[in-house]
Amino acid sequence: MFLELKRAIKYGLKVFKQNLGLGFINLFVFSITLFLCTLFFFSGKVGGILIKNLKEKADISVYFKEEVPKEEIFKIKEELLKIQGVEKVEFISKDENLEKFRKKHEKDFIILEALETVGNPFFDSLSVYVKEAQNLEGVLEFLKGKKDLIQEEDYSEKKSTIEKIFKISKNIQKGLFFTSLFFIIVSCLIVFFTVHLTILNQKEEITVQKLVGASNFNILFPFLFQEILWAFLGVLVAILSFALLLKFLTPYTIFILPEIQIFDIFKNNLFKILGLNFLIALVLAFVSTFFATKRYL
Amino acid sequence: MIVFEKVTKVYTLKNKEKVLALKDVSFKIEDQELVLLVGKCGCGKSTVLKLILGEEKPTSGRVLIDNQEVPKMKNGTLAKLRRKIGVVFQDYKLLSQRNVFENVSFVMEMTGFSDKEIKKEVPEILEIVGLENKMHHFPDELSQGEKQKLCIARAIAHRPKILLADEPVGNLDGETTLEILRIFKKINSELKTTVVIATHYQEVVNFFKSRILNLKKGELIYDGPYKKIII
Repeated sequence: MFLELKRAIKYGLKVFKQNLGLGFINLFVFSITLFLCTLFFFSGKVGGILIKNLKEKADISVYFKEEVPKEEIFKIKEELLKIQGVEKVEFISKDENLEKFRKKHEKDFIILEALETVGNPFFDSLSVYVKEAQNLEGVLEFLKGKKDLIQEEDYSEKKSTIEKIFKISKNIQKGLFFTSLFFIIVSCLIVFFTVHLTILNQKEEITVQKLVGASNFNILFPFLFQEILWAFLGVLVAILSFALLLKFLTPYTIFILPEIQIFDIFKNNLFKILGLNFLIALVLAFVSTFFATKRYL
Repeated sequence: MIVFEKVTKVYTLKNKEKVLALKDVSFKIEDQELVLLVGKCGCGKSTVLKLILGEEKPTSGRVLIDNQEVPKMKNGTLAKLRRKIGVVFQDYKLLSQRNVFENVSFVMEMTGFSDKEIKKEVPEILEIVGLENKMHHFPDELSQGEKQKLCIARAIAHRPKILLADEPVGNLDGETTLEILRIFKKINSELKTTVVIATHYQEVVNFFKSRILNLKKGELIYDGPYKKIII
């Protein structure tokens, strides 16, 4: 078996060298396919961060009366966390609220002066984050029972914004999923037909090999090996061109998405992207070669 | 042993027209025999060889090799059977992407020869057929005669149990023809290989003076020892 494998690899390398012309078409198609896969994996990541950032803005703040002790607020925090769909509850003390406000208006001297006069007008508060807009119903229901302790909450004024944010997030997720699915299917078909074309070119060779006693392994493996080589080269080309594209786009995206450094996201996910690309390349090479040679085996 | 039992083969052409290639052909070829399959062009000689090799399936009847029905063999079993058969194809069927050396070594690799044996034996075989100086040439760089010689070298390289030759000397000059026919005779007598040669050359029949299967329009009209026949 080892000898057979060694010979098949040797022949695979030879076929690889002999079919460089057609192979470059293979490389081109693999690169485009893998580039698209990378693009959609990456858009998923960026989309995820965007959605997370958006959802962070979709919180409701509950301000507690001056006399409510912190222990009581922490108890409420724990109870809120138990409600279905609540993702995160953050306690912000009245001093932190004041500090946040100061930072937000650090250039507005009138407001800062007024603050000096009145002291700290803020209250201790809880910021509640939920997974879906409809989860807020349960939170509001719970808070109704605690209205003696609550100074105010801002749900009613934020209601339409929160619902819009959740709607947009859902649409982004749906859009990304269907676009990537479409492109991956189209790319797979293109790879399959290109591999099929390469093998069609070798139809006579396969027929003769069969007549002189070659097994399916003897016939299939050199083609598979050749396709795997092109696929792996395709991974390198795809990743390199994607990295270059991101490097080029980063200065422009900072204007649109200032909170996201796209090249850093790429760097942090490089191993995941490489792994995913190698996996897709391997599966594509294997499935395409198998189906393209199947009718001749 | 090769057995044909009432074998009929009908080809369907692209225009759906049916062509009868063999009709109720029955014969037995014992191990180590040398048999000449003779008849005019289009009489069914190549079809007989194709049925033995499993390249074609009979329309009716049975084709057996060592008691195993060839048409019913699965891919793996058929590949194993083919490794025991050496074939000189009429249209050569050479591996166009492999050079002369590799065309011969390919079948040796399939049949488990070591790299060392291949390195030693392939040049020897190529010397026998006179291709020792063309080892690195590709099939499309060879003349018709050289292609035929290469096809013969490939057929005998792995010392097959059965050797099928379809018009093996059609494109060779007189001297080489004689040399090749002597090789076939030697393979049969020394290596105990069963040899089936399809030919329409009277000279080949007269050279071997062996058992004859004479086909005419797909029918077996004579099965017996050598006699002077007019093809």
